[in-house]
Amino acid sequence: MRDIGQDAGVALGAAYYYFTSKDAIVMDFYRRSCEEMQPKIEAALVDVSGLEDRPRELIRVKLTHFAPNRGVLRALLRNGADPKRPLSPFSPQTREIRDIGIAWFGAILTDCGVRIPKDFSPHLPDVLWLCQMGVIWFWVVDDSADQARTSRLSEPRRQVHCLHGSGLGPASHAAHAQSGAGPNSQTLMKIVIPGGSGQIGHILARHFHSQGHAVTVLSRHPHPAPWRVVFWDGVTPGAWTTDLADSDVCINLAGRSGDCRYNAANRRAIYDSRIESARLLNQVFASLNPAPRLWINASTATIYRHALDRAMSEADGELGDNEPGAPKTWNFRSMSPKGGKRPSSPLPRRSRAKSPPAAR
Amino acid sequence: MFDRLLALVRLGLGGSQGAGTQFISWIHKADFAPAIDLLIAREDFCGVVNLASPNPLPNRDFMRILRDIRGIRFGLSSPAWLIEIGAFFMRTESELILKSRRVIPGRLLNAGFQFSFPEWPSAAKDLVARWRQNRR
Repeated sequence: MRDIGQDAGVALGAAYYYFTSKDAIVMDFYRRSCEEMQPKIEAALVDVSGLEDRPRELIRVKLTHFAPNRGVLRALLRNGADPKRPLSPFSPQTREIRDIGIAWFGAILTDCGVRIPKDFSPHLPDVLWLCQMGVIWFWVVDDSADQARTSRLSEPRRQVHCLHGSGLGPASHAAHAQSGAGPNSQTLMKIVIPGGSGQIGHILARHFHSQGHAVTVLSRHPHPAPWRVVFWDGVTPGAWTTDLADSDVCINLAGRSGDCRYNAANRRAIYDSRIESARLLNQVFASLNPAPRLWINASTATIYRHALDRAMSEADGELGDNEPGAPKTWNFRSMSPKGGKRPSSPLPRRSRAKSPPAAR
Repeated sequence: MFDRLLALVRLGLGGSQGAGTQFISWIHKADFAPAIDLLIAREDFCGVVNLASPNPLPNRDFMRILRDIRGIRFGLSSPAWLIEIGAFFMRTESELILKSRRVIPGRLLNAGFQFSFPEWPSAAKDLVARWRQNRR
């Protein structure tokens, strides 16, 4: 306290007037940091969305804030792990500050666009906070230039499998590649499945995932799965395009389900959701080098006419436009987006698969 | 889809739907994924490919086989007008069940693709067995 008083230019007695002990000074440092960070966090999160990016941004703000005082944190680290020490981030004395930190994680989860299982959601803020403490600890002891290793640690992809738990993400794929697991260990692929959160998508994702391929599902409502699930809206390019960039195969299942009333709005949605998403993917592929070597688009068996007389194959099947006497709803479904025209695309080959609704 | 049909059978409503002559095109999920594998593996595949079992069958037979395997002898048939009403209340479309889909996988067969479940009776038997196992 004597040294601190000297440095601050106040008498020892005066120093004790303000702070009863060294610990009280540190505690005030905690509190003040916590207060000063609030507006910074708020500002930083305005334009950030998603379960991956928001916690990362939150942690980034904290690290930036503490950067001038990294040495202080390092000194504090010595006692930090013991909750009995008042200055430990796990102590009863720091509870208030800790709760504010946890509440931030709760706040960014409420509108991150990911549905979190009910039994897990009350604990997730705690888990993320603890995860953050791990990153801060790593950063404090990180002696690489500009703490480059910490930056790498909090890269988007790595953050994901720490959040999705159960050993997911790129690291687990790499592990598969090394151990040679799965029947196709020679040719492990990266497979992206837009709209792959339905029943068909689930069958495919599970199939490829079990073989050791790296599966990424693009979904409007990302949910935890044993494979990577990334947000997309099916309309605009976004962070998801980086997943396509190094993929081998894209299996597009996107589109509003046909299991609904064919009223005007639903017809529009069934039609547009397929065309828009395929157009978007085509546009993204055009900007990629190399693009995936295969693009599969799902269509429907209903594209063929109402056939009682003979079977419809690819070679001799007749499409069902405006069949005489058919209800309007039938004609509508036959007019589902077709694969007749080949849009210009840098892909070497592409195919469309029609699956009957019975498989759904 | 399968769960819905099986529920109808269980409720004694597993007769034919509409005329019963309309064909049902189907594929077992155990064949679906390997078919996609083939599309990925075969560099020469391009364009339209039908993914369906080689043996679509009339709705009437499809439902009868399902009833037999589920062990329910009785199945009330639903006329088209009843399907229309039902579809309205289920917020779905009668088209999904009344339109005849008689689609065969010409290209997969030409490529020598081996279906694990090419016939509906064996596929239905497997699906009902899986359903029973999941229920346990």
